[in-house]
Amino acid sequence: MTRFWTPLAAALTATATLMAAGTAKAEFYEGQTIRIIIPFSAGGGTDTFGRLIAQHLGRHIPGSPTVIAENVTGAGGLLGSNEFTRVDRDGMTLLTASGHLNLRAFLGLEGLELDLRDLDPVVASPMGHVTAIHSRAGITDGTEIMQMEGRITKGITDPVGLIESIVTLEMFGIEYRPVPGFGGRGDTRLAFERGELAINTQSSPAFNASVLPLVEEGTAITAYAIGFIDPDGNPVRDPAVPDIITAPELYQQIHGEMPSGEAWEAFKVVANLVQNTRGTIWVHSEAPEEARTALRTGVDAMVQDPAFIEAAASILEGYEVISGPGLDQIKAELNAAPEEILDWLRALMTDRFEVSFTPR
Amino acid sequence: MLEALVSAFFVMLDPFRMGMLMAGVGIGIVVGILPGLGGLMGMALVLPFLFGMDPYAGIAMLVGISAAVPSSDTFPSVLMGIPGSSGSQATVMDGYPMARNGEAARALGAAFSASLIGGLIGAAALTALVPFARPLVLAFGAPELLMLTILGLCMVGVLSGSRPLLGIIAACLGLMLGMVGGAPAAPEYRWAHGVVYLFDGFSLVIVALGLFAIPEIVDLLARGGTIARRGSGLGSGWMAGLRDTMANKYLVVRHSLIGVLVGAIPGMGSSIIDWLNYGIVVTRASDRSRFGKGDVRGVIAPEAANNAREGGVLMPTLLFGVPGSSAMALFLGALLIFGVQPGPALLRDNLELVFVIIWSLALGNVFGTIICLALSKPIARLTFVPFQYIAPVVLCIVIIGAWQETRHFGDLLTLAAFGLLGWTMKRIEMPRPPLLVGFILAGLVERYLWMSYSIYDWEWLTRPLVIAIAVLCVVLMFGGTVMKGRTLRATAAPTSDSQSAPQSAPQPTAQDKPDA
Repeated sequence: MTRFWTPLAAALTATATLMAAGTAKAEFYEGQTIRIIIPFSAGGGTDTFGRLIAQHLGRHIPGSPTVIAENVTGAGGLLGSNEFTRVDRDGMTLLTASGHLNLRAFLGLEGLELDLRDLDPVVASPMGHVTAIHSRAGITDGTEIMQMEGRITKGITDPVGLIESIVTLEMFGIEYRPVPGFGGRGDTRLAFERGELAINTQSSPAFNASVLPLVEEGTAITAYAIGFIDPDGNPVRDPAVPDIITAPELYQQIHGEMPSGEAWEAFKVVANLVQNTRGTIWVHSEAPEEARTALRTGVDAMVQDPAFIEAAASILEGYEVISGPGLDQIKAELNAAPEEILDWLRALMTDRFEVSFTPR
Repeated sequence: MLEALVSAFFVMLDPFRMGMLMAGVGIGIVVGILPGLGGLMGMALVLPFLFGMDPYAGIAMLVGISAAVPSSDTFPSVLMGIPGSSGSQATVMDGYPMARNGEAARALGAAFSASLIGGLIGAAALTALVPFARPLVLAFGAPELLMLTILGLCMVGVLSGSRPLLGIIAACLGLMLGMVGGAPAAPEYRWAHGVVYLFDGFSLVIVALGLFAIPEIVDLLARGGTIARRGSGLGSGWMAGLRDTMANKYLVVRHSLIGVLVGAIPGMGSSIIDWLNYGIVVTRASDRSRFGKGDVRGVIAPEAANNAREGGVLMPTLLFGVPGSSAMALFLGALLIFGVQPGPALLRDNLELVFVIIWSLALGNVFGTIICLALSKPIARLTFVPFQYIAPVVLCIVIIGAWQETRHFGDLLTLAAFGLLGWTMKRIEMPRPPLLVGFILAGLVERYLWMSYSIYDWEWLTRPLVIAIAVLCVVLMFGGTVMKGRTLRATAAPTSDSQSAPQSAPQPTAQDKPDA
């Protein structure tokens, strides 16, 4: 009897185990609801990206979970992202962050509890920036940028939110006069057209839509694009404005050599960190392995889906979402950022704009 | 341009798009009636459904919401003394006393007909001004905006009625409360004491609900009975209101134009426009004795202006991609979903879309007002229902309205605290509108002063428009005293535009006097 039943029992057990393993693996998100926290108000760029992903991701994740987006707003993303640090690490809650929220967390802004080292990116999207100079500064070409005249004003919204343009001005060594109090980049664009501001940096799509007409009518000149940095540290043109020279290239044209020193090192960190993670969906690194794998699988399938590609085209404004190896590079760059450069960035923000940090 | 105007109309005639426009109007009416919810909330509700929708239909729906809200938010302002949204705060001043005098239907009739004309003037002005909007918007730099906010502060005197000193104290308190939270021009948090909830400061919606809704609910319950204190019918009905608007047509046109022009300047919120128009109508009137006690002109002026404003705020939104109001910030986001980048190029490349927006605005206003007019008679009957039957519902709606701001426990505490403050002020007969105006303007005055000085040093004081507005401020402050003398001299002769005040309500301090 025993001899007969043992193999059968073993076979049954094995089958049951296999089935159990099979169902568990395929069905981690079966019948579940994933909640994506969007810490900004509805209608903004980050919100739109988060909602785009919320709409398409669910049906590509094995088990087809329901994905809902929820705006938890307040204090410039603080309330929503702090809530994300308090939820269970079960893979059921994700966070949509902007590049600048990521940077705030990275530098350890006072009151912000989010720590990027505890998170894995699920999917991200890039956004470049272009700087223009008002013609009243008396220059006709980007190469004359060191000879600007008059009050060289630059509108300041939230200084950390403008860090890529501020660090670039530091890299050139341009003495400018910060004008605080602006509500958003749109407001600075208007003050720039009035001539109240001499320097203005906009996202590349916004530059194309609303600053380029000023350049065409002669009110402004295009100075440089911030651009991206490849893994070897070389400047890469911004895909949305491939004809505009990048800041490091312009520096090389003016000075005959590539920039160097702390400002350049900081530029390399900031240009990619902020601009590659304009919209980022994060999951806790402590979430179950199956959850993180399922999310990655879902994203890989989603980016192949024609319905998603079509919807994303107008929302991402000339860029493509970052998935797969690109995400690993973001994580690697985060880990590789030298601590002394972060200190330099914190000191820049504190000395010039009195921003307080609580580094971790 | 004319060609695009006509082709856009045919674009709009599509049944699905018209249906979406009507849906938007319906949503706008509902969120407008619910206190604390406004166009921003309505748009946020439909935003998730816009992905993948026909762009024209989606845009028509959003514009329908923003066209209907400034009409329907009049209901709670008039019937219960609770601002329906931040754009109808000033309507409370005279609309609510009218309801308490048993003239709710008349107030609503006047408000909706003024809204309709205002909305149409707004849409027409947007069409006419599209080519000239750029110089208008560009004329207002930081120094000019600073002077406009100071002009708003000068309204405090007008809003204080017969108690100017208490009004100034209330305004100072408002300025102080407006400073709580993130400073407008420096990365620091004031009086937040590390409480993250206070980082954003107090929400205007909650402050307005606390100041106006809670004290009204408490006092009405304490007194018992109905909202309307006299009369058993609806007064002379909404036809009387229509006649009021017709009799004051000059007023309607003037305030519609002010609404459009001020609305076109980014940085002037809807509540500022509302109070500014109320202040102007009071200052400019020759007989001011009935304001605050149920003068229909105090309803007509802000209501014409707040519908016309929607045409104004679209100018910077479409032409510069700079949101003219918080709801427009969301509208910009929606345009992004449809792949439309607002900016000067929009007029050149996609004029048809601009006209679809204008048509939606005009049609939305017409539909919205007709529905509100049809609803006004049955809804106005609420003022004759014993208040204890409707109080629980109103209180729930007010609390939900406050709670949806950040859905943080602090929202409820803030509502309770401002409710207590408002009730205390009502008891000691301290005017509450100046507090609200101070609260709204605190951050703006500081922001624009900083910006003006950082950009121009002291040269900003010499700019022509700055000087012009400064003169207007002085006229507004001292003109009132001069006018008062003139009115005293002219008491014997009835003036042309004072026919609105009924002679049957000699209540001396109807607005702020507690009844218990």
